[in-house]
Amino acid sequence: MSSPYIAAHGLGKSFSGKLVLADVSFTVEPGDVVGVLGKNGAGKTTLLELVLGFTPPTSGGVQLFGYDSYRLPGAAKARIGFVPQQDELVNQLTAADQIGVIASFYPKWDDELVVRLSREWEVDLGQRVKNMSVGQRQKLSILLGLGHKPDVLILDEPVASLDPVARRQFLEQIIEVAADGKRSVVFSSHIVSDVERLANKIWILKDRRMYWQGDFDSLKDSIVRVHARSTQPLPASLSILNALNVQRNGTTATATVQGWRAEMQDGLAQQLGAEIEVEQLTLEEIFLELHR
Amino acid sequence: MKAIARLIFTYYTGTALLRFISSAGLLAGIVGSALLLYFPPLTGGSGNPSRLSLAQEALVFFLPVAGILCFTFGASLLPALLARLATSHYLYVLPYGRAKLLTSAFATVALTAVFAACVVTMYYSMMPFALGLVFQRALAVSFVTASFLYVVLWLTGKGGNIGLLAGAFVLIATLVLPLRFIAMPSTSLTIPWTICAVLWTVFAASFLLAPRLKASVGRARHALAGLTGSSYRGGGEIDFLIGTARPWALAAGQGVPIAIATVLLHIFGLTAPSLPSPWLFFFTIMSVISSALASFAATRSRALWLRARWTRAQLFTNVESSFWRYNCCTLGVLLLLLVWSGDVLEMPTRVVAFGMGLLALASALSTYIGLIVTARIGWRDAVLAVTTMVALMTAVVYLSSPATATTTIVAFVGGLTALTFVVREIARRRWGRLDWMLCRGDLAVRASA
Repeated sequence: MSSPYIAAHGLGKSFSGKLVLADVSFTVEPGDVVGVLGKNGAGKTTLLELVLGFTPPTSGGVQLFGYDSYRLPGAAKARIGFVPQQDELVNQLTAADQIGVIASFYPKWDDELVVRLSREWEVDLGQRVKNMSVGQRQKLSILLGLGHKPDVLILDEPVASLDPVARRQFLEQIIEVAADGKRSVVFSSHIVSDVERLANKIWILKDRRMYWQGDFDSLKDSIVRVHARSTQPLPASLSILNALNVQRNGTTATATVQGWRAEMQDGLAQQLGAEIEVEQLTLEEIFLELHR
Repeated sequence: MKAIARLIFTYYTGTALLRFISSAGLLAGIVGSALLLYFPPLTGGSGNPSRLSLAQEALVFFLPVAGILCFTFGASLLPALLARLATSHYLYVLPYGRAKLLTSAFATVALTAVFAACVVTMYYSMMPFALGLVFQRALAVSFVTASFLYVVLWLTGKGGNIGLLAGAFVLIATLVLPLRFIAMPSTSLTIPWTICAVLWTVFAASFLLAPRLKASVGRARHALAGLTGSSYRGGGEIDFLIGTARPWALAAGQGVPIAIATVLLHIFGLTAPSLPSPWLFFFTIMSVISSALASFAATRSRALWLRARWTRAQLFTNVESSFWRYNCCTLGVLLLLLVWSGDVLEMPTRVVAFGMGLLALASALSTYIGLIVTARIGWRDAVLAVTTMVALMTAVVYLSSPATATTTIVAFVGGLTALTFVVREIARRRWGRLDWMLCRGDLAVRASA
């Protein structure tokens, strides 16, 4: 088995004594496409910045390609691609010059890929950056992150300013990047449907901690909505193990249960004297239930 | 190496205008130097026989100088690009990004200085000077000047009071510092080289250690913000939104360096009649810079427009008033300093008296030229701005000369006053049809620069 590209253990970060991330551990293997979810202020950007070594951790540490991420050597940096939340382009330059400047830092730059993508994404390379729309700038920013075919691509809410067509094109490109099984992508997004479509691993940050990490199927199996229907009125206070929330309406009840296992169904039916139906949730529904 | 070369190339050729300026500078420098070599020693109107007319000689003299200036300003993208990349996340993920960026900046300054030194050496090549020494001296002076000049471009391009203030301060150092080494050929070059070495070492260390220093700087800023408090005061909403809420920071910042310079000049025994022209020149530059903030007004006024129930005409009146409140502080300090320094440095009363009027006019003109920036800057605006500056500088020269008749000075002042009213009227009309889609922030920044 190949060693993980990214490995974090007990990662924590405080700003001026205020804890923003606590005790986070994870690994990212080659071929992983990780979607990071969390409410505003959950610590997604901080987590990505810690992974990239922009800021030192307060506790724990991150290893990127086996190096301490805060002290990454240049050769390791050449294997990273990063697309920031807000573009950091130079307004005075044309898109082609902007690409030329960034490309010159990398020993391997795929001009063909960049030209092809810029054509597909309708990025005018002759246009000055300051005259571009927000979406165009974001596309250019993504091109800069992809051009050197990085082993690890980290994107902080990359599609927020893109229209649905551009978003779909971008997501297809991400899949293409990760398809050879040797590259990894870590991206945060508020558009849960994109994460659902793209990621094979999900990280959910909640209350400054890693609330959930694993593949999407496990998450869907683990958090389900349980419907109980009885001929008799159900008890006023239903006690359902690991229930995130319960709604009762006379003879029926609905509960979102975490850590659900198939064998629990019969036990619950007996306990409540009701017919139990289990409904699988979409990622968006799971996310909403977790933050209700 | 590829990245460093690419960065340097981009500094000089990043935009069409810079490509033109750099190429023209390079060409003018080379052709001018070749002409100096080709032609016999120029007499410069000294009365000795010459094959060329005075105008032709002036052109041959001017060409290499223009080449140096154009080539130096051709790399104007250096500070903007350096600052943008240095403050972005790219610098953390680009392989050896910090070291390459720093090297490219140093190499660009060195390249500019070497070019200037070569041209200057060619200038003196037909004269009986030790050319090695000429090259060394020119290199030292050019290196100091170029280093400071790019800092000035960066500071003034940032916008805001403090940026303009710091830019003005460094600009004075840029202009004054090399004068001593040009004017006095026997002065040791140890001082400029030491200054350069110290400045570049400090800059390089802070640039390379920036990630580690960032947290400390953040804490210091936080503490400082707590001490100075918010720039917003109840009732001062217009000033706050337009950016004219803190005139005293700029006024105080202008006062300290001028006061120090006055005392130093007094100690060195530099007084009238040699001083008035450059001294008044600095005051006028200060006055123009302090009012140049107005070029940001149109962009910033959008928030004001959304919150106040004003027509565009009322908006202009209120913004104009806000700038005059601001100007009163900065200009008031400058006028007081002019009177005081005039007394200390024994400047002629006439120069001080007319100088005060000139400063007020410079401030007014600069404010209204800033206020006409309501959209992309056209060639008419650029010509107007350049003409105004030339007119102000010409007025300074005439005003400082004892030979100039009072009627000439009065005519100059009258002409500038009329120009002020014309520019104000243009600004008023433009604000009457202000379109915030057309006055984006970056245009204002360019105007300020």
